[in-house]
Amino acid sequence: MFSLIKKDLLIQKNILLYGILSTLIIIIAFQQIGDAMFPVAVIALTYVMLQSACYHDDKNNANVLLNVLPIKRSTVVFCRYISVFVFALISISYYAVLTGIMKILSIPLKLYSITIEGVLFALFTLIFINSIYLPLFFKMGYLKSRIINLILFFGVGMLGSINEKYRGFLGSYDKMTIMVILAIFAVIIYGISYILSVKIYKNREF
Amino acid sequence: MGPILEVTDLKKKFKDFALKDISFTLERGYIMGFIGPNGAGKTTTIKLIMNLLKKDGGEIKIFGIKNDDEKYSVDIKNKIGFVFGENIFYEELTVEEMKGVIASYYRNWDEGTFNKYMREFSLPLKKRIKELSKGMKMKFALAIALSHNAELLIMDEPTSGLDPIVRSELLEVLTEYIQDENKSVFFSTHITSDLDKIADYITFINDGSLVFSCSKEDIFEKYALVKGPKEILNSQTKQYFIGIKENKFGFEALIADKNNFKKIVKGEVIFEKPTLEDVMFYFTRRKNNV
Repeated sequence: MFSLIKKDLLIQKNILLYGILSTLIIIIAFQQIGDAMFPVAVIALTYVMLQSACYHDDKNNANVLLNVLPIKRSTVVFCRYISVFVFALISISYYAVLTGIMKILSIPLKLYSITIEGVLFALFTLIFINSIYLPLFFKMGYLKSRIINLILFFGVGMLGSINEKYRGFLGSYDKMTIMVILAIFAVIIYGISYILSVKIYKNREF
Repeated sequence: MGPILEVTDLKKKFKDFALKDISFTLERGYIMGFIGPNGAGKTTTIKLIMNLLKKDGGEIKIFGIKNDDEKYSVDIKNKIGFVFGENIFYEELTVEEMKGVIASYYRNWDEGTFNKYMREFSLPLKKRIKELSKGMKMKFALAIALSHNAELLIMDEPTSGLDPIVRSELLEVLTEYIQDENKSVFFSTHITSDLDKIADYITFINDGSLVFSCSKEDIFEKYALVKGPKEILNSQTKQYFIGIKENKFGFEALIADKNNFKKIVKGEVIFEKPTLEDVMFYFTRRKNNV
């Protein structure tokens, strides 16, 4: 079933170089900003990988191929939802390897380590953005939906900076409680989004 | 065993085009040519068969099962080989990578057969799909379609834009494929000379409507190309005409019911066996000519 995700990775071989570049740029750009460096690096690279995968699925009648193969439409959708996590895992690995190498080489840059909070924050943001984006992608295709995705991406970025001010407020709650609530919320919206996407994609014509 | 493909009263409406009540049946062991001019609705019909478009009415049964029955959609697609006129593969992937992804989904994938076709077609496994010529892309699509023990081969304009040598190769492969009496081919094209050679049945659509669906022999039995002087053209003879081409020396026309026509015309008329192209040409232009 996961050959579709393997295909996503095969078509993005050039991402190897791009991933290094994108992670490095964020490390440098976030020198003054602080511990958002890690989640932002992960979110940005995952975003680019997902956009590239969606672009290729919409190009050259690839949708025709996906729908003449013996695969259920719901499987095509499911693989796309799972691919977000695969891309996130790759992005985390990039950050880990690059910051690891930089530490060994004693490069004079501030580096923030990977934390559980950082991973969860990145995943939650990705789930939030894609819960809205993916149904639109399955409805309209890559070209028409990419503007909306861009707005979502930067919109969430701005929300993130406002969020900084409320940290103190959130800080008064138990950290574990907040994480559990966020996790439950994430599962629910991603689940609803998936069901909606399946419904949309089943009725799509090619 | 019932028909391998059964289309009944198929309807589909678009803003500026409609497919109207298309019906035909393909039995196992035969090749059916699906002909019609550009824009007649061939690709729409094939997309409806493949469930890429949703029909507005009618019924499509493949292997006796409704094609939109979700429970069986994977089973049906496992037994269909599909060749589309345009490239549907991921161009960034190499032939081998694309094959790997596709093969993993087919229950009866046959690597030996695939490799045999790769050798026969001289296809480079390591090349990216975007580097392949149009002919090579079609051969790759055909190799994929033939390597998972498909019982029904559905092809949409596979020969358009290809040179005669590649087209002949394709026809050879199809002739070989159809040796197995359980298998059938449904093949749309506007290059009808390909079908003169290999098709058993012809389904002809024009402007979204079915013109006829019958065996190739029946067509040649029923229709004839007639050439003669203009003097024999009158309201009685014209009843038989499907379409006519006139010049200052005389006329050439396609007629239906040639046996009865022969009884009413006297004098110098020549009867010829039409090609499918003649049939398509005169039917398509009938409104303008008769």
